[in-house]
Amino acid sequence: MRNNKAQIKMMETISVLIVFIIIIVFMMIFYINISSSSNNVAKEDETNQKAVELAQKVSFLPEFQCSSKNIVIDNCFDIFKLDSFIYYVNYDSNGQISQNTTYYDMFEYGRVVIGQIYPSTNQTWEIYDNKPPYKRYDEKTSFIPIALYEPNKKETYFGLLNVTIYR
Amino acid sequence: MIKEIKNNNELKIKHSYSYSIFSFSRKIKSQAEIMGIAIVMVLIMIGIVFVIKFVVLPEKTNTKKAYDQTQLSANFLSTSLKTTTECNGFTMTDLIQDCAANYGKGSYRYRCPDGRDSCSFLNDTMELLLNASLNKMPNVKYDLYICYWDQYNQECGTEEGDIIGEFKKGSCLSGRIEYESQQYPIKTDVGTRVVQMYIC
Repeated sequence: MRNNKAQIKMMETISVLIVFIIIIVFMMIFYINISSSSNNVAKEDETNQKAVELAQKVSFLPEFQCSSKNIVIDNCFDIFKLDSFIYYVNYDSNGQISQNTTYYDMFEYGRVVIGQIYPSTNQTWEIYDNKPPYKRYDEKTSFIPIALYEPNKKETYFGLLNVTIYR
Repeated sequence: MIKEIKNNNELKIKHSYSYSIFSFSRKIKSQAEIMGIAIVMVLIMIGIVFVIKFVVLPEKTNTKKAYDQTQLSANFLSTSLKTTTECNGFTMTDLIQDCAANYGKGSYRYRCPDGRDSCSFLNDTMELLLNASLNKMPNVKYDLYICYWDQYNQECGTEEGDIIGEFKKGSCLSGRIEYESQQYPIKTDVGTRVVQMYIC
């Protein structure tokens, strides 16, 4: 009888320990999940910041900016300048297709594409694309609304600046 | 007689042994109970800390996020307002001016080639621009109003004709959500109208 009682007590102690261990394991899983998700958030924030930086650099490049009587218009890209830029980065002085690496130091690994949204056309300008040499990388794309100015017709179109960051 | 004394002694020993076992187990039991209560208290405290951190305390203001949102809304508004539309080459600002001046009168100055008046063309085009830009961004919510601005209450007027355009994706104004706001005033024949955007 006393033996049985001791066994029951032991069973009780063991079951309490098991429950306690289960609770601790759950808490550890919860903590690991939270810390890993906060790490991911920090990583995503950093990528977002890079995307915003790249978008800012592109927006303020005199190569694309609209201007009127030497006054720069904010957040506006000149369509003629974009066309000329595309030609400049994709062809050499002899008119042969070539890859211009002038902007690699400034933009690093990323892709910048401008698309016209309204009036709707399929017109896009890929002004930069430099993928990293390694095989596995993350990419994060940000969209920024921009104005596209057509100097010939003196019209402004609605466009999107798509900035992709490779990491 | 001897047997009786022996039995009595045995009984005494048995009694004292069982008493000491009883008091010992009671001590251990009470200690274990205190330990249990302590563990439960610790668990409850941890739970309360998590609840306070994730539910009660508002999310920290992320300066970068706020900057991104301000930039996004400012860019959207400045770009969309100067966009040349397919309605006889009027800009969105022109359409807002005509719509505000003639809202509800039915006599619009601007008629588009497809027969729509400035108000419906303005609303359809704005919807189109939003669908092609902000509506494609999963983490962005906004409230956009084109309206007469009530300076006293710092919100759009509530009378008929005060709001000439209203666009929403989710809502930033309901609940405890932190948002950024951007306002563009436009001069019209019937006073100033604003394009007000709340983004979150």
